[in-house]
Amino acid sequence: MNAETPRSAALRNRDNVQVDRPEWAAADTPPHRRPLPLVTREAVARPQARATNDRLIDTNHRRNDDKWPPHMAALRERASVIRRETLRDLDGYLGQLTRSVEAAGGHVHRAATPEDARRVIGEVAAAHDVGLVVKSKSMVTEEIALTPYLEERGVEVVETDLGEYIVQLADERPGHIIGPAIHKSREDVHKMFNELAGEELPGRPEELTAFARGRLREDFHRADMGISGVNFACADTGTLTLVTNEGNGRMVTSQPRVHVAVMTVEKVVPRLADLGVLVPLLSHAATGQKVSGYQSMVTGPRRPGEPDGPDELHLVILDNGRTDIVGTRYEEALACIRCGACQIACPVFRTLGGGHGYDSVYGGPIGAVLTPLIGDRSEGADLPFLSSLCGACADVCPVQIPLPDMLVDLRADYEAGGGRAPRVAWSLWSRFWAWPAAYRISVRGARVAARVPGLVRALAGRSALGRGWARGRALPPLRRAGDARRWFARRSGDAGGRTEGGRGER
Amino acid sequence: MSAEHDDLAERFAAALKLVGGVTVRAVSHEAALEEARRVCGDRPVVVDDDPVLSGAADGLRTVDDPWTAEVGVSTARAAVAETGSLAVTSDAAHPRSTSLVPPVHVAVVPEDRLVNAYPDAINVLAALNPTPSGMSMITGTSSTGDIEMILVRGVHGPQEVHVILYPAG
Repeated sequence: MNAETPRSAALRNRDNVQVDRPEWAAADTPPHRRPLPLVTREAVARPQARATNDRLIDTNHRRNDDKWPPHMAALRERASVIRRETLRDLDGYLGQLTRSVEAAGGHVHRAATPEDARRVIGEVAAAHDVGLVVKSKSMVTEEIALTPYLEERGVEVVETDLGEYIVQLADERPGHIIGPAIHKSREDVHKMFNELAGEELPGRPEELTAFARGRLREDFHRADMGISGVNFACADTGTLTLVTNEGNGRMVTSQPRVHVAVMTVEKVVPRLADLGVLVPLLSHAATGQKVSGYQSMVTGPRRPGEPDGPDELHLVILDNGRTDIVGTRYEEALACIRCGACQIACPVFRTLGGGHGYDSVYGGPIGAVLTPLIGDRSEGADLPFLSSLCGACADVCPVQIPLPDMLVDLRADYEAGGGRAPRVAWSLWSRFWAWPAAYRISVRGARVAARVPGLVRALAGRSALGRGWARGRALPPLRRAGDARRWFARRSGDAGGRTEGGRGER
Repeated sequence: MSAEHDDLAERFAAALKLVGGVTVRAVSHEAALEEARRVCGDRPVVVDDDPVLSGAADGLRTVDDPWTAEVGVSTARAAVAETGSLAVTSDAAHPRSTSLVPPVHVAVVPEDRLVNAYPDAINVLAALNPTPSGMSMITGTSSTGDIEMILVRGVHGPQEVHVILYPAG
């Protein structure tokens, strides 16, 4: 395709949109990750983070203050069982799914790595001479960095979910699993759409939505290929189910002549009938709806005589290290149904102003658990530290994944693996402080040093280790260092031998 | 009209209203088709070839291409009282586009297809053999919350949904 004559109507003049985002929010994650504390410090400091935090706190109250009324709690129990039942025989269900999809006339491709998945999809696109792809929201296509791969091969890819369209124009990754533009204000969107239109548009959310609808409509009609994710793949019938509200999922799976659905291994569920439990639960957990607007259930390509639907259906099933998690203490992380509730509920996610601050495809509690476990396990080992372990994520999880426990275990894994220098430093420090004279000297030293403004920070900054340690950390008031311990010492002295309910420290 | 259908129909209408749709309860099949024609007016329409809709297109401006239609008229396999959802399936006579592409969707549904809850409708679909290539659950008008999590109705799917119920038999 000629890059100068893009076929997408929705992306026309996209170069006029001024990209204003830090590197760590980019659509393509940079090859060299920066140290996480640097990214999080920048993320928290952005003015947008505060506004996003305010909106998310509001959403969290609305959605989560009374999360599990009795009838939903019952669904939650049933869904938790269904998801764990699936994981107990993941291979078996994937085999059944493959046979069912093939029996319905679809093609199934198993991909071990993101490279495999990209290559298969690229080959399908090339075989059908595809120039324009309409895409519905899918996190797995982010995980395999599909869009840049296809663009390099001259295929234009248009995101059709409104939030995804917004972040595509902004050249950013999705900031939340189901709310990709959660970190954008209406003013941000208005400005981008004005630049795209080359004129001043009305700026209410309804009007901005209508503008995007108008631009995307033509692309649905003309695109050669649709790419979608899968929310639930039913093994018994081979039915690929998409849950959406905008209707773009229905368009993408029904209008283009080729449909490529991409899923990760754990999206399989045993039966079509399970949707009766899983869809209302996902809807409730994700958006607080009784049921999301649309469930598109695709069973193979169009059949003889049918006037619409794709001629060909390809299902790509990505592993990327997931089957290695099965049977470990992190197995339940694969029960996730991608509702994004743990992200909204997480104070760290909110304070960071969304998922970009995690510098990974999946942010929030589920991202902090999943990222270190998938792929070649080389990325995001420090993400489990982005949590206060408050437990809110487990409370709102519709399939009861013990996320806080996993975060703690992953921290232990991290300490056991890398991070040797801090461990040695801490052990030396604790030995030093266990010696009373050394303790007293260090406390006095701290109180004296605190009288010289900037001295402690300057001293810490003299070594590389100290600089790294001091970054992103606030210094406690040292002038009164040791006061608490003295108070306790005095109090236990006053109390004489009283040892009520505890040990008397003598 | 049974009392049970009556209750389900009332609950369906209330639930659909909450998600941006409109329910009309017609007194007979003929009255239901008349109501469908009234909603279509003189706009270009696509009408599914279905026994429930037989004669519905009489006097309407029907077109072949759903992308040029302003109204799509279909029926549904099931309608859910608790949520206002419709279960729609596609085959040679029921294109996927009818309930999706035109900005207005009209569904004519006999009341004996009303079910109580969402899983009941899924069970209706799961019982179909062979499983249709395209099935959709449709609950109200299309919507988004992608700008500041503010609900906006009318995105890529229909901006208006009219469900016309009539007593079966």
